[in-house]
Amino acid sequence: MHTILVSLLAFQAPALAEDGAGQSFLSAMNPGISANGLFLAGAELDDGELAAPSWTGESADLPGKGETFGTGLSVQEMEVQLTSAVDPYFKANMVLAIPGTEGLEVEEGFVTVTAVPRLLVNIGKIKEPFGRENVTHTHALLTIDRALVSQRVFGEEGLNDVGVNAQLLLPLPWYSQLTLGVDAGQNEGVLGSGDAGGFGYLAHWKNLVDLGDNYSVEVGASGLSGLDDIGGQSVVGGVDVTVKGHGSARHQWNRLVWQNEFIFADKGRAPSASKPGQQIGGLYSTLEYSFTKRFWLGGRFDMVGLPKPVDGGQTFGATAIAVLAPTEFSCFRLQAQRQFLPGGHTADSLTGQLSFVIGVHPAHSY
Amino acid sequence: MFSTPRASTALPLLLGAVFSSPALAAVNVVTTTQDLASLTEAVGGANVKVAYIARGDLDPHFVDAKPSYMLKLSSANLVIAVGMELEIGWLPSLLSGSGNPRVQSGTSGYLEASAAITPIEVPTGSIDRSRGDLHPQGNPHYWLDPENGRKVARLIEQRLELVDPGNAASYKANLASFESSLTTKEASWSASMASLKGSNVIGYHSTFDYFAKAYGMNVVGFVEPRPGIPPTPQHTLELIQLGKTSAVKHILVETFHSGADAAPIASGAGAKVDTLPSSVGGATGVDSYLGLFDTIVRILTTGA
Repeated sequence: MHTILVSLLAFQAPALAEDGAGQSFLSAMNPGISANGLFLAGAELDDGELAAPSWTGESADLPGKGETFGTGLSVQEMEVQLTSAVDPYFKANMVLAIPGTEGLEVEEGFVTVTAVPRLLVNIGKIKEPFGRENVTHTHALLTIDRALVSQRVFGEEGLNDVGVNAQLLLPLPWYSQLTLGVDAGQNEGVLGSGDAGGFGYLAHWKNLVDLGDNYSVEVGASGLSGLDDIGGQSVVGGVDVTVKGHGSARHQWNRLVWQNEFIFADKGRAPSASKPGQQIGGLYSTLEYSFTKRFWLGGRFDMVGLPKPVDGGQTFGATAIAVLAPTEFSCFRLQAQRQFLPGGHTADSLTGQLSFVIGVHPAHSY
Repeated sequence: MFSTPRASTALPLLLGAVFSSPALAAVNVVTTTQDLASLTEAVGGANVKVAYIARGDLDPHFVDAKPSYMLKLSSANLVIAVGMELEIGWLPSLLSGSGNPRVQSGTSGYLEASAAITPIEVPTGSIDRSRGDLHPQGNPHYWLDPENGRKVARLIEQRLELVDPGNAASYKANLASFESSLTTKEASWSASMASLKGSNVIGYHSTFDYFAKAYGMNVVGFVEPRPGIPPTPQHTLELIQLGKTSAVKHILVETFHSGADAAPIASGAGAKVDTLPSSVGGATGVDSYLGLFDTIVRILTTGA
């Protein structure tokens, strides 16, 4: 991000205590502030809930269908992010989100303890490091929507809960980070027992190896366990593999990202479960290639219903996307998607998205 | 808590292995660019072990914050950055993820080399992104003035003395040797560049502005209409006209930018596209700070 990082409040602060660089003490003490918005224009067939025409004649919401955005114009999300060092020992990050145009929610709000060598401790409401997609903010995804398996297992918000996690950089020759965490156990998809002691316990092991100067491969394994909302216990496991690379010199903008993730959730395992348990598993694979600094194409394959069918069958998704980014701070996405649902149904959507960022936005994770 | 003798012995050993950095025979320095790595090697000599993050053939504004870089930073005694927000898009997250409190901003283990130089092109007036990717503290490509390289080398020497006072005499001697070589080279470069003094040139980005200023060339325009913004057809036409009226003979393009945008301007204005390394490692054979200027001067004065 080649950027002008000037706090939005810098121009409003009185010019007190000017230092040599011309920055006032007050503006220096402001957190980094950024805002981003995602605006959508979509056309959707077979969505059931909206009054869009349907070529299959289906009127009910289709079981197994992932998130699509309906027909018409809408706001997908607006966010404000604040980041700053608290003191020499902590830094803080807060993301306030408005999903759509109404209601403000704390998407993330946490402090990170930075004073211990090789160890980072995050405390607060956090997008938890389960796999790769879960920690990615919506505007930083390749596609407009999240992978179908992520939606089915963790719900609309993903695994994002109040808790504590510790990330330890292991003393190995390659980058290897082990995360252990505990959260409040409120995830709507696989936890949510409502018990005071119904914590969720998370583990994630992330490894990255450079393949020469330009390419790298990342392999991760994740696990989550806790009490669920049907009186049993959920165990969720996942593995992810990502290959990234780019060209050299004037070809550095030719970039490739191939990201794959498999997630399996076994819900309602304990004998005390009041309802039958459920197993949901699936995978996705995304591939993107940048032809220039400003234009790239990509696609995603989804499969839900591994190893057992879910909702009476398996769901597949095929998504194609084109992205045009005039700068690092704005981009247009055009996404076409077909979901192949159990029972022979299909759900199709064509969605355009405008994304913008203003202010001091921190870099996204690699 | 741990009842068995084996556990009580093993735990401190395990924690020690995990939380402590291994003892180092040399000062472990990580620089953000290859230019700073070269200067640090020149000053540090055998007493430092230097690694860098951004390769010289890539645009330093855009570097992937790879976790493997965090691994490099995790064991560093000293991090040296260009500063002036050149690395703002990637260095903060790398430092944060390194889990190394010794090299965080504000500590003696973190040095921004820009503290040694006087910046040019500090923007005035209202600054926002409608003006492109401006750097509020000025043009950050200062290492392309060899006198700034001298100032940065002196600053690095001071910091190495602070971090590793036991080898101060060695650092002073290395600096003196580097400065002597630089002075000799500068005389040679100045003589070669004399024919271009007072000439007008066009840059792709503002990368070579310090170099142009050092050798008396005037940068009259840029291929980018605004910093970081790709050229438009209208801007290209305007530059062709400007190139003609200003008798521009050289268009300076970094090795990581395509010459395709500059080619029509060169063709229309009767100029030549010079593809130049802007950093150590920016082209084959450019493996030192002094070698970087050797190559730039050679290309500009001989075309090869």
